[in-house]
Amino acid sequence: MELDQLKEMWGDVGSKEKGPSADELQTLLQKKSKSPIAKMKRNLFFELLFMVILYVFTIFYYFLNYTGGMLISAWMLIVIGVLYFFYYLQKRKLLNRMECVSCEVKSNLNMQLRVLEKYVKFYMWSGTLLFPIVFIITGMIVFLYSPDTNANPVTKEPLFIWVFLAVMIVFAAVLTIPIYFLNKWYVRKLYGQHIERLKTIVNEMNED
Amino acid sequence: MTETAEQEFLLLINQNQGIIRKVCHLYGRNDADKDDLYQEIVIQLWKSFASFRGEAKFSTWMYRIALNTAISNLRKQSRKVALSFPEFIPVELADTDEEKIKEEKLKEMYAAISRLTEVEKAIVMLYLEDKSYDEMEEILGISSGTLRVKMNRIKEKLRTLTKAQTYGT
Repeated sequence: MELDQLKEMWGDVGSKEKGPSADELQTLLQKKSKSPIAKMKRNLFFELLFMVILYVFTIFYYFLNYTGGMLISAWMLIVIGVLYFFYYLQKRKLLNRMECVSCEVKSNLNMQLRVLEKYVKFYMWSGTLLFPIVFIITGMIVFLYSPDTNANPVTKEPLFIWVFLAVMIVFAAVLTIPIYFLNKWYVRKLYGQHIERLKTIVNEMNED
Repeated sequence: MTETAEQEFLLLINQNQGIIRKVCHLYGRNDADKDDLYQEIVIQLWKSFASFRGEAKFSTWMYRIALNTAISNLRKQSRKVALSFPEFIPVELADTDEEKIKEEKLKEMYAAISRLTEVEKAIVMLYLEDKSYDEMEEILGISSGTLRVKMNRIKEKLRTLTKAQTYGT
C-alpha cells in the first residue's frame, strides 16, 4: 500500500470522536501539565519552598538561642539565602524562556535545546562553586568562634589564622574536584537523556 | 480569562477536534498515552490562547502547538509497543479476500508509520492532511525544498518497512 491510499481515509480519523463539553473542558484545564518543562518548574518551586522553610527555621533558631559571635552564622545564612534567591530567579528565567509552543516546531526545539543546555551548565557550575565557598566560610566560622581557639593564644595569632585559611582553601580545591564530577553525573542523570533526544530531533530537522 | 474566551476556545477546539485527535493517534502508543497527550495539547492550547492574535491561521497555530507538544514531550518509549489502530481501520470485518488483503495492507502501512521518527511522523501527518509544502514550512519551520526531499525519503522508507513486515524481516 502507498501512502496516498492512506491519505484517502485519513480525513475520517478522529471524526467519530466527540470534542469536550464545557464541563469536561473545565475539568481538563484544572489538571496539571505533564510536560517536562512544567515538571521542572514545579520541582524548582518545591526546592524554593524547602529552602525557605529550612532557612527561616535555622535563622530563627540561631537568633533565639545564640548571642555574640555565633550570630555571624545566622547572618551568613541570610547572605546565602539571598544568593539562593538570585539563583532561583535565574533558573526560573531560563525555564520561562525555554519554550514557545506556538512557534514553528524547528525554532521551538532549537530554542529548547539551547536554553536547556544553558540551564544545565548553570545548574552544574553553581552547585560546584557553592561547595568551596560554603566549605571555607563554615570552616572559618567554626575555627574562629570555637571555645578551643579562644582558649589557646597560639591559634589566635594572625599567622595561624592565615595558615588555617590556606589549608581550608587547599582542602576545598581538592574536594571540589569530586564534587564537580558528582554534579556532572547528577545533572546528566536528570537531563542527559532528554538533551540527547532533543539533539537527535534538532539534528534531524536541521539536516537537508 | 473571561467566560466568553472560554466559550470561544471550546468552540474552536470542537471545530478543530480532528487535528488534536490525529496528532494523538500518530504519537500516542496506546489509549492511555493518547488520552494524556490529548489533555496536554488542550492545556497548552489554552495557555497560549490569550496570546493568539490571528497572525497565522487558527489551524496553523493549532498544528504548531499540537506537534510541538507531541514532539517535545519526549515520553519514555517502551520497547514493546501495543499498537492501537485508529477507528478508520476495520477490525476483522472484511468479507472478501480482496478486502482482507486491503485491510491487512492498511494495518501494515499504519504500523510502518508508527516506526518513523518524531519528525518524520509530523511530515507524514501534514502530508496526509493535504497541506502544501509552503504550509508545512509555516508549521514546521523546515524549508519547502528540504521537506520535498524528506518526503521522498519517507515514502521510500515506508515502502521498505511495509515490505519488511510482509516478508517478516
